[in-house]
Amino acid sequence: MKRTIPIVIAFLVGMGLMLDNFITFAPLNTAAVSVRSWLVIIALFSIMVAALNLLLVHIPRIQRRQGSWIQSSVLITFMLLTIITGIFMGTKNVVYSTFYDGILTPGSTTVNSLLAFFIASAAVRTFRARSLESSLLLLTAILLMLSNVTIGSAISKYIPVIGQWVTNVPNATAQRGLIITSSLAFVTINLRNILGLSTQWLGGKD
Amino acid sequence: MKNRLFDPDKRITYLLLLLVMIFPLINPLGIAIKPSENTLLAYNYVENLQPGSTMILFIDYGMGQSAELTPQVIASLKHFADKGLKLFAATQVPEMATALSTYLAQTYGAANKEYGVDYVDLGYFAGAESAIGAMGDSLIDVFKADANGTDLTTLPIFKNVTKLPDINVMFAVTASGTIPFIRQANAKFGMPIIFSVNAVMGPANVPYVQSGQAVSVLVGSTGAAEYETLISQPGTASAAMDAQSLAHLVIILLIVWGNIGYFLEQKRGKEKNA
Amino acid sequence: MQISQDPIVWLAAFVTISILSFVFWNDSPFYKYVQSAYLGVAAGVTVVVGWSNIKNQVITPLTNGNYTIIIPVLLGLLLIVRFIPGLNWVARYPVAVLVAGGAGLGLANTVQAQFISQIKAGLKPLNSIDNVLMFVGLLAVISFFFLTGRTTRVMEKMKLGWLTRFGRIVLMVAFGASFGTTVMGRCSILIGRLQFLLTDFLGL
Repeated sequence: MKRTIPIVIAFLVGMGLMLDNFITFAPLNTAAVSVRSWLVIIALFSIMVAALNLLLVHIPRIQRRQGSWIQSSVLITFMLLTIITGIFMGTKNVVYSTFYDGILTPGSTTVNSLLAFFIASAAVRTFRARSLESSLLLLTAILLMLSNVTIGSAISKYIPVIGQWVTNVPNATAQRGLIITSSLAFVTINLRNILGLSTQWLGGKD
Repeated sequence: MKNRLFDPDKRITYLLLLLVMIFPLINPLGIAIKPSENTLLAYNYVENLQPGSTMILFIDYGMGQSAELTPQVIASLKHFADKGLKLFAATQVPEMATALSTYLAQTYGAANKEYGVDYVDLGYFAGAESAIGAMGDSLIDVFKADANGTDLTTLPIFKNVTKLPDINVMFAVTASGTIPFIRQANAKFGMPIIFSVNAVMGPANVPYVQSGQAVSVLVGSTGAAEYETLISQPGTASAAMDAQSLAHLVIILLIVWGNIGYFLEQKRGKEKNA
Repeated sequence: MQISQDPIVWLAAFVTISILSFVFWNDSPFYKYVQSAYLGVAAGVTVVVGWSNIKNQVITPLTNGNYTIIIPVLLGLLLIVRFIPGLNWVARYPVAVLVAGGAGLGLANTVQAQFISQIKAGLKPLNSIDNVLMFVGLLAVISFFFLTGRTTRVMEKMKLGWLTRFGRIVLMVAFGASFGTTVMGRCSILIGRLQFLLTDFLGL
């Protein structure tokens, strides 16, 4: 019951939704429409699960004064303040807006912007023309870097032209190969999930 | 022994990068922006749409990528408003729901378009690809109400639109993947899709344009700057291009410098062993 | 230069500079606490938006007598039961629906969207160097993925080892192209932050 019924559910749902694309059979098609709309509602609850999980990880840490418990306190405080003001005072109130515009927006963007430093530093320290393949990678990267920005066309009118050719021919060829092979992997993995041959998504031992 | 000249402290690299980015932001160089093939494809496609055509916008990127993708959203929305396209806008990232409302206010709102008639903010939807699949059956069942809680059946914009295939074209701005949109909209209903993706994903999506599954793929802030040039409304992306250029040039020069050091080290090593 | 008077802009500038301080100061306490605050707000915003959707899509229809959504609501609630010790296996039912739903939705269209369409796009008339390169390149890349490893010696014996090597070279070009555009992407986010500091905050 703990493992068998979920596997049966997965088989029925997966097969039903897949066959709905190929078979015109009113009960199947109607059921598929319903199941597709159910997925949206179930996904909504999974967001709440993620938030609950965050609380269950950080609150014990705060209670036991373990590790970086001060940072956990800051995280939980701001999370609860945002939830309380957002739900009970609306998303247009000044506190929620301040958190959104003053903390979330700059915080999120700046954390991502750190990658610019790291990619530059990594490229400078490790990008070496050690072999034919790495030289080709290096030259292509430099060419595309120049052709992607305005200075490339200012240096030479041929840089954007060659860059476009590299993007449309060898790059597209390789990416096409990657798409084809990854689609086969996708089909394999998901068929195995639906047919119950792979049960990793069940988790646990019981 | 490490040669400090050819392998400097990483903080020097960081400082140099910051300086070459800050300088052109204060003193722009004014290097011309020339629209690329992909940007022209997208722009011309929208230009050829009739006023009153319907467009659905999906925002599928987090706040972290907003610096790269929001300029494209703003430029495109200005173009859509100008062309009189009826817009359905939604996001599958919770933190972008508020931002989406702001973008619509800055573009459709500022162009005096009527809410509920010319455009609608559908807000956040959960479920990603599953939800897009469900939209193929019924948009109203997936959303039920707009971002303000208004029943969708009361909005005039939904008069002739009940499900995804009723909409003429999709504009998907994504940092997580184009495949769900291609699978659920283009493969199923033949819906034309214009993609705007972050730079990382740009090269990987060229095959979809070549196969006709996507109208075009606009790439990162360069695509946004080119689009701003085409609609003659320069914005933040255009202002950033000079800084991009200098930053790229400096990184390339540092890579070349590092490689010169590498080859000299290799030569010294060979001479020692000889 | 006209520094902003808006307290939200000041707060945003403080958050930006605190996080950027990590680059030059690994142990920056500003970075640590500001990052925790931002993560807390991000989680809170997700909950607020999720709750708004639950109100619109679950509570309002139920209070209006639409009981067709009872099954997905019950399945969704079962997801939360996973936190009760001894009952976490109950969450497998909704997870089964989610996993299989995503798989079923994607499977049927993947073959058309990614496999057949891309093979069609790769089979162009061999009437130009580009088309020949694309055709041979596609075969080379696919052979690199499928025919490297245990079949390498077989390929060498059949004098086709060059095909997998050529596939590797084509892939290196693609990775170089990806790297080139990745640098642009990362730089644009940093430039966006600098634009905010210089324009919105310092008024330059």
